[in-house]
Amino acid sequence: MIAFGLRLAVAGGREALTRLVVIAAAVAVGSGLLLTTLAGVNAVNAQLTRYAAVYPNASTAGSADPLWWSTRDDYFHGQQIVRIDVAGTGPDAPTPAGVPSTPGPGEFYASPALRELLAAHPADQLADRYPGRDLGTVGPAGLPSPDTLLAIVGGTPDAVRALPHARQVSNVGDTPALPEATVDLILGVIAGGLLFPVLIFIGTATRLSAARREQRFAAMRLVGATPRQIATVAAVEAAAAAVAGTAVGFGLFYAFRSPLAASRSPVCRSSPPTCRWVCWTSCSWRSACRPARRWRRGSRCAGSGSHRWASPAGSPPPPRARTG
Amino acid sequence: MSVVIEARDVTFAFGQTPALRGASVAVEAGEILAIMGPSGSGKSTLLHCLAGILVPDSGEISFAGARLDTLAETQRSSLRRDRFGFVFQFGQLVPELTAVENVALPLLLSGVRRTSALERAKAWFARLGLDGLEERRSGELSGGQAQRVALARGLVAEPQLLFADEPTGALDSLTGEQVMDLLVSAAREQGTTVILVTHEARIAAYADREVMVRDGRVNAPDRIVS
Amino acid sequence: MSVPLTLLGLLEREPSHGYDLKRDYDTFFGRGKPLPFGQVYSTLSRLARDGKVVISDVAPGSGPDRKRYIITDVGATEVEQWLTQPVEPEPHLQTVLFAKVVLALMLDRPAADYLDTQRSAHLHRMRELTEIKRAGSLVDALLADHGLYHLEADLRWIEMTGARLDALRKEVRQ
Repeated sequence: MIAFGLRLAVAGGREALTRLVVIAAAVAVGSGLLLTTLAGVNAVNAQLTRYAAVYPNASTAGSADPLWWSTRDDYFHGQQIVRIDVAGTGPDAPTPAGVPSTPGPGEFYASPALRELLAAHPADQLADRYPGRDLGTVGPAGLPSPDTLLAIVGGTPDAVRALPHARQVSNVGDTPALPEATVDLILGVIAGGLLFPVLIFIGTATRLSAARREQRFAAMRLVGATPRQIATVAAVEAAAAAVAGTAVGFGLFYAFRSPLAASRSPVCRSSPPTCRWVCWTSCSWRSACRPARRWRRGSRCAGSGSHRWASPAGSPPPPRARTG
Repeated sequence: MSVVIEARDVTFAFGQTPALRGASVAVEAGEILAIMGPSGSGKSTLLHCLAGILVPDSGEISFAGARLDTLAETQRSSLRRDRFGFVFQFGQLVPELTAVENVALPLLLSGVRRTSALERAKAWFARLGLDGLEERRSGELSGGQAQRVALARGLVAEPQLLFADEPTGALDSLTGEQVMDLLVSAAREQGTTVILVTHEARIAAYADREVMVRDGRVNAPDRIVS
Repeated sequence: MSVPLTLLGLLEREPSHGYDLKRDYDTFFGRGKPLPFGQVYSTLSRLARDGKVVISDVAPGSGPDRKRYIITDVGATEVEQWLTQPVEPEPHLQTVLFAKVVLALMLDRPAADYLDTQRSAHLHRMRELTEIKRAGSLVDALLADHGLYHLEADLRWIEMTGARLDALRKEVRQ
């Protein structure tokens, strides 16, 4: 029966194949969206964590040697440059994320994007803002996005303490921006707002062929297929569509992952691209699925004609003559 | 002659709508019986009850001396597969399968090996004048061809009983009569008992005997001796 | 169309004058071909001669319409037999069937049963013709088909009438 079910699903003519492709496509879209979205949530979380690491909260617990920290926004030709001034107060002071060591007074690290900008403009326009020794590049771990313009500049504790927004921090970069409960909430919203319409879409795609499938199963029942045989055939067909769809869904995910990861929009300017993407998809899916909800199944009523048939009623016999 | 299948006082309702109100009919082995009646009289419902497709609300169906209506669905399925054949008005061929696979379907479902099932099915194509149509799908067959394929499928497992529900209902007169001619010839050759539901007198005239279903009951007229 | 049997049937309702019989005959069965008075009286006298009707209450005066006719047991039996026996299935017998159905309803007889019997007789004949068709040559088959289609037309009429007996009864018995 398994072979027979596969035969029906895959080699059942163009129409059967179209049906398989439509359902597989629905499953592919569903699983692709699910994977991409889960990855997106993860990415947003990681990005927000790094973003938070740029603006850490004051924390003094535990460590004897806090780090003085001040984040300021600077602008060059309209572009935002994040400048972090740090000053270690002792050997135990934490090191900012993305750099091998805390820069001392007169030393700095620059992000790759800032490094390019520095090289492209004369020193009196930009580089003079970061005097002293260039220690190297800020690694990806310290950057919310690859094109962030960021500099970590060393100073003396006294000097940094005097800067605006200065605070003492005892740990940097390791606090997740989104608490677990928030991530759960986001996933819940995704499940309701995004996956549910996708499920309806899969359901609709399946239903579109339901009449045809019902006809086929009725025909099979008629010639004596047992409920078990029908169930096996149905399961094999569904599994074929699901397996094919899931495979394509993974393909979609890998195809979408790189463009998503490459979208370079700094988190601090607007909502992250992944968030926007999630919003866009959920809105468009909701409108795409609206007609499906209006779809109603008609019901038929078996009728039976009723005919009244004359029945002889008793009535007095007609008058009659006697002969003889 | 012995009674091969019998309905006794069978009632059946679709929800609140009664379709059979105490129908009784007995069919003898080798007989071709026409069940006639106006639309909605319950004649198709009676056939479905006899074939074990519907289970009567009350009354008895017995086949070859044993109760059929009390069997489990699985047992009735295997009975339908091995002992009964079916030809209906339309919508009975599996559109995904080729004509020869459709004919072989009852054999495949009973576990006959694919090659031998297809071989037995092919033999019917010559017999019913369907040569060369083996690989067509149902959408590529004319109405008459599709009905002949359905007839071949109904008879391929050499059933004891063939149930035909308006087998010519979707065909023009000439094609319909050709199908009936083939049906009667093949059934006589195999000794298959046929229960034929039709509202058309000319189709019923192919049977040995007719009964009328009216308002869910069967009127069997006295045999006319001429 | 059997005029003597139809008149007998009409008489079985109640004893009647020749004039009443003619009027009822024309109303239900004449249909644009009224029965001449001469035929009414010649038929009635033949029926009287055969002992199927008797004449009673000869009214005083002259003229043909002084006589009232009453059906006898012999006559009633003949009507009964005529109604219960199916008509030989052959084409173009709607008018006889029609007369039988109307009379049966007038006399409160089981018209539906008569129709059933007729249907069986028709189907029996159709089976014979179908057998001829299947076994014979094309000429035989086409001749048989001619008969089959006409019988089928009768059968359809029988179906239609059977389904509307109630309405017909109301109309012929008012």
